[in-house]
This record gives sequence, C-alpha cells and structure tokens, in this order.
Amino acid sequence: MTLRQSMSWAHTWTGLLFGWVLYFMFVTGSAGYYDIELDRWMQPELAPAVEYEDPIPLMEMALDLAAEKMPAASEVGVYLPYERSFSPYIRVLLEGDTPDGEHVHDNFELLTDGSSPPEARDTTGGQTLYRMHWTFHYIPRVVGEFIAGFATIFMFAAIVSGIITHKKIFADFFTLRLGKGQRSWLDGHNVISVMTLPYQIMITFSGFLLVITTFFLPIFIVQYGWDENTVETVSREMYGIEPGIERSGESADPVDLAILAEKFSIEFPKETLGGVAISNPGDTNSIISLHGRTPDGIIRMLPGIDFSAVTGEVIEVRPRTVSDSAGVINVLEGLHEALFAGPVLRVFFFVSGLMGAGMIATGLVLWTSKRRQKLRKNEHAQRNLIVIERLNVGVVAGLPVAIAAFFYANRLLPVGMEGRADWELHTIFITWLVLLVLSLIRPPEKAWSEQLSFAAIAFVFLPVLNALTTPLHLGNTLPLPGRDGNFMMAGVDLWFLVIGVGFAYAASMAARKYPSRKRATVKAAEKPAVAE
Amino acid sequence: MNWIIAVFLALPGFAALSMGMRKHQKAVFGAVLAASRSRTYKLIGAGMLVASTIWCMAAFSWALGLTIMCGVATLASVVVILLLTYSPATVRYLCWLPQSQ
Repeated sequence: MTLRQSMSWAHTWTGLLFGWVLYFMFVTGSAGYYDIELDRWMQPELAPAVEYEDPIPLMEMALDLAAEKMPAASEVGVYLPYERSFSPYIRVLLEGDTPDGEHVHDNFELLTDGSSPPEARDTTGGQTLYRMHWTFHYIPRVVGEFIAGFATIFMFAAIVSGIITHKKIFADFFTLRLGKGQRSWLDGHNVISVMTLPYQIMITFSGFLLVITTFFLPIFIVQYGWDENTVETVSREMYGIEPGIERSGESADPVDLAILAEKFSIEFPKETLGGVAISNPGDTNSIISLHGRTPDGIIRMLPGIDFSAVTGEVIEVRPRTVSDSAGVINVLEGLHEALFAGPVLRVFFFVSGLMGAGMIATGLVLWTSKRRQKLRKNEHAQRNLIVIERLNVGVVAGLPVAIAAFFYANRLLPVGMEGRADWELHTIFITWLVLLVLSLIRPPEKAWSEQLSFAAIAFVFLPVLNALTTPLHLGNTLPLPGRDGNFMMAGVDLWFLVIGVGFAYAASMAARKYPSRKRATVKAAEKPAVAE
Repeated sequence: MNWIIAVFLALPGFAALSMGMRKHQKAVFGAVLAASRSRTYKLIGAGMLVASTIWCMAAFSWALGLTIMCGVATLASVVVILLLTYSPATVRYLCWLPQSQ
C-alpha cells in the first residue's frame, strides 16, 4: 500500500467515525459566533445596551451597591454593557464568605440609573447552543469534552490525510463539475475543504487545545498529583495566572478610580474601559484591575492593568506572555473564539464554520455513494449501508430543523412556564429524534428533499414568527435613513432568511437529482416526443 | 473600505490564477493558451494575492491582517469558482481581459 493509498483509507474511516459528531460540533459551533446576538434575540424583552460617556460614575455606583449586598466580599467584578457584552445591563459578580464561613458567589444586574432591569423570559439563549459544540447535552461535561477532544484529533487526521490523498489539490482548486453524480459530490467536498483549509486547520487544532486540560488529565495527575486543586494549578501554570493575594486584615481606603482610569487610557489609548475587578476590597492587600471591552488583537485576553488599590502603583499590564507556548495557546484560542472579530470578519468566521459543516456533510454522502457501487452484490452490507445513508439524511438535514425548532420554542412556549429554558433545549433533541425516525422510514431520495424543505420553511418563517410575537421585527429593527433600528436583532432575522433560502436551493437541487416517480415518468414520456 | 480593496485585489488574483490553468482556459477562451501566457497569468494572480495580503496586514496589523486575508481569500475564491461553474466566460472580466485572446 502506497502512502497515498494508506492516507486515503485513513481519511475515509477517520471522517466517517466521527463525521456525525463533527457535523453537530460545526453547526452548533458556527452558531456560537453569534451567541450574544442569539441571546438578545431570545430575550426580546431586554433593551439594547446603553452607550455611556463616563464609565467611572457607573462603576462607583455598582461597587457601592455590591458593598451593600455583600460587605465581606473577597472579589467584586463590575462589567459595563456594550453592544456585544453578555448582558445589555451593568453586571456585578460577587464572591466571598458568609458569617457562617460558607464561600458563596452572587451576581446582579443594574440599569445605568441604578434600578433593576425588567424581567425577561427564561431561556438558556445562544450561549447553550454555543457550549453544546463541545459539552454536548444530557451527558456530564467532562465526558463531552473527551468526545470533543477525540473528534478534533480524528478531524485533524482527516484533514492531513485528505491533503495527502488529494493528488491535484491546486490543479483542482477551481473545479466544480455539477450534475455528474459522485464526481460532483467529490468536487464539492474538495472545493469546500480547500477554500477553507486554513480555517479548518486552525479551528480543529485550537479546538483540541481548548479541551486539553480535561483531555490530558491523567498526565497532569501523574505530574502534579491529585487533589481538588490540580486542574486549577495546571491552568494557572499553563496560562500564567498568578495566585490571589491573601487579605492582610488591615483596612485601607482605595485610590480614586478616576486616577487609575487615566493611567489605563494612557496605556491603551484606543481601548474603552469595560469594567473593574477588585480583590480583597478595603484591605491593604487589595488589587484593582481595570480592563477593556474586547481582546487587543487576536490574543484571547482582555487588555488590562492591575493596580495596588492603596498606592495606585501599576502591578502588571496585560496581555502578557508568560512563555512562547502560552502565547501560542492564547493566539490559537483567540482565533477559535473570534471574540476580536468585527461584524465583517464575524461573517467570514460564521460562513467558514458552515462550510466546514458542508465539507463533513458532503464527505458523509460521498462515503455512502462510493460504497453503494462497491457493495452492489453484498446484500447484508447493502442493508447496513442503507441505514447509514438514511441516518445521514436525519443528521445532516435534520439538525438544522431541530435548531430552528429551538427558536420556535423560544417564541411559542408560555413565558411563565416552569422549566421553560430546559424545554427549549428538549425541543432540539425531540425534533431531531423525530426527523431521524422519519429519515429511517422514508426513501433517502425523498427524505433529502423533504427534510431540506422543512429546514427552508422553518428558517424562512422564523422572522415571520418573530414579527407575530414581538415588536422587534424587521419592520422596526432594520436601520433606515433617519432611524437607528436595532441591527443586532435585524441581523439575526436576516441570517435566518439567508439560511432558509440556502436550504430552499439545496431542497430544489435534491428534488431535481431525485425526481418523483410521477415526474420521471412524465419526463420519460416527453423525451421521444421532443425527438420527433 | 480596506476590506473592499483587499477583496478587489484578491478577486482578479484568483481569476488570473484560474486563467493560468489549462482546463479553465478551455472553458473561458475555448482553447488552451500558450505556456508563456499561462505562466504570466499565474504570476499576475500570485502577485495580486500577495498584494491583497500585504494590504490587509498594513491596514489591520499583521496578525489580524493574515486572519482577515483568509476570509477575503475564501470569499474571492467562492466567487471565482461559482463563475467558472455557471458562467465561465465572465471570469475574463474579473481580470480585465478583452473578448479575444
């Protein structure tokens, strides 16, 4: 067996083994690029984030309220809102010991006038959809991370073996021959893979790095021993996080935040102050950290400065690189999450992610179509192949429908329903299960066009449902001359429409490829007439 | 604006690269071009892609510029592939080529 032949074998089997898992990871992970936008769309009761001119009074107000709520807090964090912040309101996180000695975490949100924000519907939002791409659902997180880790290794092997297998990787770069059966699927698979190759390599390798702490746990245990702090110790060493300083017990007044903010703006002149974190507030060992809103460049770290709260002296300026390997990890993880990306680059990341899903989907279809020819005379193998072929339909076309169902549940389930957020998520898996069963009982040639049509209808009607159930529809949210609109909400509706139209095109292609018997008979009958 | 310039450098870059390949020459011009002309197209294509990359790096910083260039290259190659598939003759206009060659 030559190197190319052995790589071809490796590519085929590594691709198939984790194909369905990877498809799920790519689809939900791509949605993750718009996690904040989906969060906002799924809680239409919340107002858009308010832009502020001076962050200092807002921070001081939030810190005062935090001190009232938990006087003995050891850590206080205040996060100011901006367009893509987790919450459109001021978010305060607290951590500390109760008088009983219990260590507790708390959080609350504020409007810029200090009042409480309005109640919104209970939902896990886009965050859960995004987290699902490596934690999955209904299984312990650590198991999910192991599955995701193995899947990324297999994906990486599939990419490398795919490059070696593809003899004319550059010569075939622009080649897409349509209407030629298996040849067209192979072209589609190759073209999508090669066009997005840098993205696929980056996302796979960095994805593995993101779960590496869990994945290499046995190695870490051998190196560091095992106790409840092992994971924390490893993470600290990997990412160069300094351990917190103990409280001295002596009280001291902190430096004025405005003075520290000025130092911050001198160090990061282009950066907007995004929040403050205080360790051991009111103590001589207190540290005040000011940080920006978004990562500075592609590194996965917010720019920030740690100050001595008592003297105002600069302790550390971030981002800093503790070692070359930590720097590499930070850059790759930053690229994976794309937190730095502006609107246009985010579109590219999202589309590249969907193309990754398309690459896997075309690979799965290719696998079955190649085998169908080889196993023509083996009845038992044919039966197994038919099951895989049908499940491919349920996985590839069914998952988008299931995700659309998640958004329908968000709008249609009663707002006061108990366990509402959980039922939104159950809707994904119930819908997917129904479509998987449907794909098993319907002939694949019909199931493809049917399920792709379901996906098209589901996504195209989402903006309509949004218009029927909330005032934040495209008629109100599209920015027009003289009207700011709400581009975040409008953007989500527009993406739903684009995705719906894409599925409609795919459904029409599937219907053309597998015409119904009636249409095929009519066509066959028409042929001689045309010839005459 | 920087984005648009990068895309408008990459689009003719990929179009010229495809014109340097025999199978696409047949689809676009109806005949295979001379080897020297194919080589010229390849060089022009590669040069424009390098220019687009340099533009991105100069406009957005080198790290972000390289990331953005990957996106720009994907977009530009999608356009060229779709044109070569559905309307090969129009690809020549992407690299400002005259009707006859």
